[in-house]
Amino acid sequence: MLYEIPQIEHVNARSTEEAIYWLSRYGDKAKVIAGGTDLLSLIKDKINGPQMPIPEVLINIKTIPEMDRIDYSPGKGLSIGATTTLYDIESSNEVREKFGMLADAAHEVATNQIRNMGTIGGNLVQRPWCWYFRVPQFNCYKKGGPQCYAISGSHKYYFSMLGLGVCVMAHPSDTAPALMALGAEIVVAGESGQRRVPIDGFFLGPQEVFETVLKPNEIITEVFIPEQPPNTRGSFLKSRLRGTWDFALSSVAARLQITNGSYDDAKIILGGVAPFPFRVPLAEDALRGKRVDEEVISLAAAVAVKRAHPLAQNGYKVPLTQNLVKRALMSASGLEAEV
Amino acid sequence: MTEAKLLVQGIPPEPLDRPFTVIGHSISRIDGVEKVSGTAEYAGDIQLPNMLCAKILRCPHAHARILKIDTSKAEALPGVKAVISRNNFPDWLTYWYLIPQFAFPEIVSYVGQEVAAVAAVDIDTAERALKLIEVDYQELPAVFDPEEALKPTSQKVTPLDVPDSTCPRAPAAWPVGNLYEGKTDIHTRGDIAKGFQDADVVIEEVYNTSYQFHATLQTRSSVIDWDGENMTVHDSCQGVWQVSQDIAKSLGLPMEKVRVVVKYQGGGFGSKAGAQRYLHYASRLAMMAGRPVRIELTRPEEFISHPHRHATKTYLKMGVKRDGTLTAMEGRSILNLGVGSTYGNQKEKLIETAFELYECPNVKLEQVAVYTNTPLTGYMRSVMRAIGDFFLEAHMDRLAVEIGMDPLDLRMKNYAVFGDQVKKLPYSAKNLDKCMKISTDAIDWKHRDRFVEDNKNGPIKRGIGMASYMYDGVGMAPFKASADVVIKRNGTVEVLAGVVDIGGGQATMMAMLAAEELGVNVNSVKTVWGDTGPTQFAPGTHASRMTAEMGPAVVQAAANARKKLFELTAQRLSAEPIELRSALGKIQVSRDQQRSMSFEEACQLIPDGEEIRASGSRKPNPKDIVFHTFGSQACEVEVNTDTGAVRVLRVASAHELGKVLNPKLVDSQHYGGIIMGIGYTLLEDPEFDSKTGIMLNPDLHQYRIPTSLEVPEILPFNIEAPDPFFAYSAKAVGEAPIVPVAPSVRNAIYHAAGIWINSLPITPDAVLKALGKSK
Repeated sequence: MLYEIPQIEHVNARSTEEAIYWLSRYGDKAKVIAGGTDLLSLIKDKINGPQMPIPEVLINIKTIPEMDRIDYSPGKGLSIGATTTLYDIESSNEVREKFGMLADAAHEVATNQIRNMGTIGGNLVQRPWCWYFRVPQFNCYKKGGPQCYAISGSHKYYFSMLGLGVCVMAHPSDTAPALMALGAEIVVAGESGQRRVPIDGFFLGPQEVFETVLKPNEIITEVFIPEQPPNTRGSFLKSRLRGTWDFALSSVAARLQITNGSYDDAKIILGGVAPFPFRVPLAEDALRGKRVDEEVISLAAAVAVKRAHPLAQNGYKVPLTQNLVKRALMSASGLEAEV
Repeated sequence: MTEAKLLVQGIPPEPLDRPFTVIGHSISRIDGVEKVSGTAEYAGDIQLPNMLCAKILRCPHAHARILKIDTSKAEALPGVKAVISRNNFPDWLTYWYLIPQFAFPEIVSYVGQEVAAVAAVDIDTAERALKLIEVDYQELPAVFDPEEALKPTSQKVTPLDVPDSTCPRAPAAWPVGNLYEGKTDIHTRGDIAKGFQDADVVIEEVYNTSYQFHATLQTRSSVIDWDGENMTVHDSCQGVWQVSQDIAKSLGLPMEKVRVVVKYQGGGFGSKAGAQRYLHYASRLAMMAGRPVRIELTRPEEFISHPHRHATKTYLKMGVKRDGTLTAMEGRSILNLGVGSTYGNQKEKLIETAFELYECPNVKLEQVAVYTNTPLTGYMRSVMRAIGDFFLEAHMDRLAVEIGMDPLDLRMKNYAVFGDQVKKLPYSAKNLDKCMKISTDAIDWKHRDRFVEDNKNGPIKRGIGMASYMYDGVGMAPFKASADVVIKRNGTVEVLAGVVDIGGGQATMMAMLAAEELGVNVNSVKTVWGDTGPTQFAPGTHASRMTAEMGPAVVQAAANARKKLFELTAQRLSAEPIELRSALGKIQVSRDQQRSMSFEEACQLIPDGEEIRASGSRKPNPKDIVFHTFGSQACEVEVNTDTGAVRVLRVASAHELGKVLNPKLVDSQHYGGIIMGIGYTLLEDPEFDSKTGIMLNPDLHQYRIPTSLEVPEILPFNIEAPDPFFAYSAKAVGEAPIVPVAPSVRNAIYHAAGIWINSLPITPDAVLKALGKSK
């Protein structure tokens, strides 16, 4: 018996338009629910603040038929409905064959049970897993409060090592770095219709209360990934404390284009170490035009963490991330890393 | 077995005089099907008519004086049936293991301490009522660090414990400063200064261990039914009689008016022994409202409010000669007691392993317990032994490496023969040498350098480590332990035992003992447990005491019942009672086995409307013998020097327990203890905000207990050796296997990667730091 959940009104939306209608009508009393794996735990733990009232109405978008789908069009790309579960993504043959890095990233999320419920849209808009955010007593910056308590407090695990901004959360999503490496677009619907947001512009910085550009009455309807050139190779690696049910201490999504033993292009995104999925262009530059070679990779890995400015308790994330980047690049380059 | 030594009151039973027919078989636990099929009814499942819901208001501050509480708005809320606080119960003492504690003190001493409680028609109303209670706090400075709390200038903590010299578990005196009872506990022998002079190598280290929480599957829940005169508590506790004692004393009721029932128990690991604070409030609310009250703690409340394993810091210095002879040991262990504890029962226990496990002539060990503004501490699977073994066994490996000796050889070199090295008291049995050999052989200790070559390349390093341990838990005075056995005319047998099967298979074990003594199949025996109504006083199921304490009582009760049945049967078989033997449901005359009858037929001879009932009671351990169990574990680990991740690959666990009554149940304790130990060693990292004392991870996500992916290959070995004091020699196993996990894994990490890590848990940041890769 979940005695801790308060009485909440629950609306099944039948279309995107209906969901947006209810959202606009109820304003900040309402929240969208899909898998609910993040939202319900926030409600259960009574997490609230000036910028995050406990919702009184939940708008269910799992009842919108076209939201749960995976469509692949050869030559164009992959379109994933926002309520598609992480399990469906990791077990889709098309995703695994054409966009393997995303399947790997989806598989790394939480537990089987959570991946059966949790959706791709929810994974992108989940709230911070900073423990000051996740206990009700601290009115932290991300709840609309005055300050971050983690900077001068305890910040060993789910925290940024980049010394950016007011809040030191580390963005928790596993799929976001992979989607960013794959150049995805997030399709957002609101009162004035649809807009397509390149994922590079989807996440906000740590000065903002909210983590994404999504407005209160907007919802994600689709995630689109363009077809990748044939010489693309990718790798997603995640380091965590426990074998399952854990967010990343650090993760790396690497997407490489290799022709005749040289890197045509590279994208390297770090997860779990910055307030948003963190692209490292200088490390990408260190690869571009170079021969596929362990020394080149080691250099790029070192460059990837050059901007690191860890907190008092998370300096270990710097060597950890550097090693992960190296392993991800080695793997995506088809080189055997020393094991 | 030498029956005369069996620890029972009165005349020990006659020996069985035949091979075992039930004991030693892997019988599946008798409550297994109900549990896995979901039909087992736990306390939280119980619904009674007119039942109210209780909720507790908890203090948001680590230290504060309550100036005023206004509950009038809450009381006026429709649906609220009772509200309690220091307004109506200012001097109320609750009891936990008969240790008095303040229920609603003026000064609240940790974040989460109870300030008021309400009972209402439903949970929403109860929650709303809590919000309507107005409390004026005057905040006080708080102290969280025990060494800080020891300073004369420190803020003084008001503990929840109230001294009571009549209760062996309670403090006998108020703290002085924040020091428990105003004094430390010291174990000493020989001459420390001389010992260090004699040493060739002296090593000093500091060891830190973290709190550990039980994280039981079942959150605490109880339903209290009060009819105006009698109280029935449906509980999830580990000791029905202990809860009955505590609740009766707390509410001023005679014990016979408080019946405590546990149908099934969803995990305790020490945390559910005795009546916990929430139960006192809920019981009081039931009395006030005159209606049944249900209470269930949320997962965060579980973490914040129930007593957990203490955090410690130990300064340890040891001296050794080049040949491996230990010459001196000096240590100081500081324990964080939080605001209260069952610490009275644990004095000297943290340093006892170091004092006894190895032969060392000059020792001085000090145990310092300090109150702080942090939550309650208390019993948890090998609460002190797991910590005491960590620093001792870690230090032993360090010494071995420093003098260039095999760590196993160093342990054997200093093997202690006597339980008391000064008085030369013997152990009732000790086969630790055998345990060390078997566990290390199982992972090929002799060739442990086989990894050296592979470890030179790549980030993955493998290594092997070991640790030995001792455990007590084999029957301690002054607890009473009695059991009854009833034989009915229809041929069924009942064991009446006032204990709780906490998932270890205790009910199965007692049915097996009775079946063996009576000579019936185990499925004709039913164990009636978890109910103070039909049973005699018995211990709580903790401290691994059930087999060691209830075993002799059940054997005696069953043997006495058998004797009575044989007296009825003998004439029919034309024999003397003494000539009869029974096994597997058949009673025979020993000199003429053709003369026999079935157990059921024999039961028909019981006069109509009657039954055979017999009792057994254990007597306390004699004082001139030391009772311990022993064991050793060796493990193989893998350290990833790129990520700092440590994986335990294999654990060989040898435990000496006298006699294995049921191999499957005993092996399960190895598995459970090792898995819990891996959590303690590598994962479980409770975090409190250093400014406010607020727990930051009171949940099962960021307080990480192991999952199946963390479970290594586990090789259990059960070492049998006669120990005539116990039922067929059977002693304790439950808690012991957690004890050596942390030191053996820590020692294996050194063997793999060449780094000593002296603080638990060993998380990737600590590994990378020790490798010199990060600050």
